[in-house]
Amino acid sequence: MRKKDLFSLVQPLLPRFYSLGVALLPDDLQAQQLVVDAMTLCLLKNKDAWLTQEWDPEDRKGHVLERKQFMKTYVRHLTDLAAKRAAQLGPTLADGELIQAHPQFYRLDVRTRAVAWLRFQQGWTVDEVGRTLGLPRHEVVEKLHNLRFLMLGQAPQWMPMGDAVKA
Amino acid sequence: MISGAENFTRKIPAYLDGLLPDEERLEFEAFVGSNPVFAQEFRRKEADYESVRRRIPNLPPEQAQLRQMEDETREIIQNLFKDPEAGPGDRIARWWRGLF
Repeated sequence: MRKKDLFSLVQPLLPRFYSLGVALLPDDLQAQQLVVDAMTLCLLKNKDAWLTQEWDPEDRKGHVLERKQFMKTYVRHLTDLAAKRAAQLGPTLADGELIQAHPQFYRLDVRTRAVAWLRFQQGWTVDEVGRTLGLPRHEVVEKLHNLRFLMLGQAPQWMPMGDAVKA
Repeated sequence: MISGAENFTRKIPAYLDGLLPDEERLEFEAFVGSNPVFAQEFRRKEADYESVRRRIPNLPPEQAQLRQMEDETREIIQNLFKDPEAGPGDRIARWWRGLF
């Protein structure tokens, strides 16, 4: 794969990566930096695979599949990095505009937010979400179940709410 | 003993999460289609689901942010292809191969 091919592969995904970045870290600058750092990590860790991969500029169907594959690898790096950043940034993220606009969502921990965004905004299946984030199926189902209750304000007293910066 | 409607009510979250196998999914959809009272309950849960979706941010980047991320991605890719040990001959050979 040549430089411009690799760029063609990832460029259309950048807006989606940013949206997920903002869902994980509620600050646009932090999210932007997160997207770039996760890109470095993802490309470097799988350098040989990307460089040796075949790319046929005419094969549009193949591009869709390769982008999905790239996205799955990337999302794992992005989520891991976001969990670390959220723990480091702590209370500095606690009162931004985004948190005020989506208070229930940002009360969830980072990994649950990733599950929610992938399932509800991207329509990924439970199995795809689990495989991508390295979570067993039952844990994804449990997170979806709990987040529905928490976000609709129907959580029973015993259910932990988490907090905005918990990783 | 669980009644038919109760059984299907329990399946609503699994249906909405896309967890039902094909056969059960079709059975579920047929029950929704043939039972107006259950259909109402199902629509309510579906509306809850949509309400959760709306509460999850899905913000696109601004044009300037997107351009900046594209530039940085180009730079990352550029660096990825750099081989610090390669001499000028290797680089010319690689450039030549890249043309085809």
